[in-house]
Amino acid sequence: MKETKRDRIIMLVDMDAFFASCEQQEKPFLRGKPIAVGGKNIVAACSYEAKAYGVKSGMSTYEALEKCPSLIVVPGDMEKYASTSREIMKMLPDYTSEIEVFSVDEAFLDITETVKFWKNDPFNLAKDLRKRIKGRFGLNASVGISYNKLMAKLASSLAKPNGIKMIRRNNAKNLLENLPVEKLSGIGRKLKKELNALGIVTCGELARFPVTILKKLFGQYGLLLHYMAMGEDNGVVEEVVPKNRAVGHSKTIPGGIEDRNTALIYLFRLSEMVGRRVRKAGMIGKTVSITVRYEDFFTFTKQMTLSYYIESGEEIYRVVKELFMEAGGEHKIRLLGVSLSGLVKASRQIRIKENEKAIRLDRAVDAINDRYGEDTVKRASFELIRVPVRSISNFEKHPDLEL
Amino acid sequence: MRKEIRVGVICDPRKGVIPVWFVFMGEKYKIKDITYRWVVRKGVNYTDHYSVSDGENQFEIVYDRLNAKWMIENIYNGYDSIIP
Repeated sequence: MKETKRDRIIMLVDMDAFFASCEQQEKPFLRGKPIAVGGKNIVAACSYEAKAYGVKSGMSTYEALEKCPSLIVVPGDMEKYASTSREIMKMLPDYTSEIEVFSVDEAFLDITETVKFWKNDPFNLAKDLRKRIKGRFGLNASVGISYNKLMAKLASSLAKPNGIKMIRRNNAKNLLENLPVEKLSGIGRKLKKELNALGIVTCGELARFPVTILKKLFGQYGLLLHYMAMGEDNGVVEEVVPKNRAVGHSKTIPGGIEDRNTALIYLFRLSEMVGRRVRKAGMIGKTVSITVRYEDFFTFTKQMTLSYYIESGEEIYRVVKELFMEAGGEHKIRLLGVSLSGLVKASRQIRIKENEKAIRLDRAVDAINDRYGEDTVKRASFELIRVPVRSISNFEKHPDLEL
Repeated sequence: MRKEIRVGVICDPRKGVIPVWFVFMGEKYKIKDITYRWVVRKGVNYTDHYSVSDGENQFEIVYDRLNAKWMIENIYNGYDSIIP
């Protein structure tokens, strides 16, 4: 699949009727029968046998039973599905290091660099993975392969159930021409209605629709829709750390402090510590948060999301300082905290050239401190503001902000 | 239901712990098939769940790692519909 040099090979592995299949595998007497996973009120997922009767996810159980009187409704067990999902996801690093877990039953893999180990044929890799999943769990997975995530997602939906489908760049235009817009990931029922009202039914029509009007109607998303209709997607496969994950440190200050400059020194030190841990984990983040707790227990929290990723203590501190300026309060400060979230793996980040030197310096300092102990090498600026390193060396970690 | 049971296992270095029989209410059941297994985390504890068959019935047996106990969680003998 090497039409052009810059094309990547992206694969989406998508489990077929995941929840229902897990139940059918666990309880063999359910195999081959129409089953729905859910509760008294709603169908969360259903087997292909149930889909044949018109049963759909999100339908009321009552309606589902009307459509399929022989439907077997089994209670869902998220722990079971999550456990199976984790085991499946553990297999993926055998195929590439560039993995993006998209949901409990889907993952994108960028196999551009590793497909050579499968005779340069993505089908060989996909077949091997599907065989392993089937062998271990008895579950079917569909695989979509293409030159970007959007098209890989489309390919996997066309591959279902239990198949492999590849969309090459030179076939994409023909395929999209008559494809209904709602088949594209990101175009739901509501948006489909709005597009249909404009006379846009197929992706071909959407691609030809004036971009200026799309932008007027849908804002920036209008432009994105235009590119989507042409099969273009710039998204890269990147490991996404769940949103609730962050790296953070906080410090309770005995007796409290009144002086805002002293508080800034603590914040600088905390920022440095956060930066060091983030780098150690091989991550970068773009949301910086601070916590300031006063002696009357009033707590100020504020966060800022940047348009770029950072990892150095100095960069984190720059944002922290700005956020801290918004914290009023006349009371003494009892606790200060800094955290960095919105984390992704550092490897995929495209950096600004001027940052490169600072990043290399950070890494070199980290390596020395790893080997010879904390603060063997530290920033001169840190020394200038006379940070009481020893007295705050036992900084506490945010228990709920642990990576 | 969660009733403590006695279980015979094989510890396989590659496949992990494989239950081969269990005794429940005085009767010994020979496990012919493990149809599914999964792990559940509750706080600091992990429980290993096995869906097993003796050829006639389907059972869910559980190993509680923290308390080192085996329990029987469910018995199925086929059903038409379970609505929670």
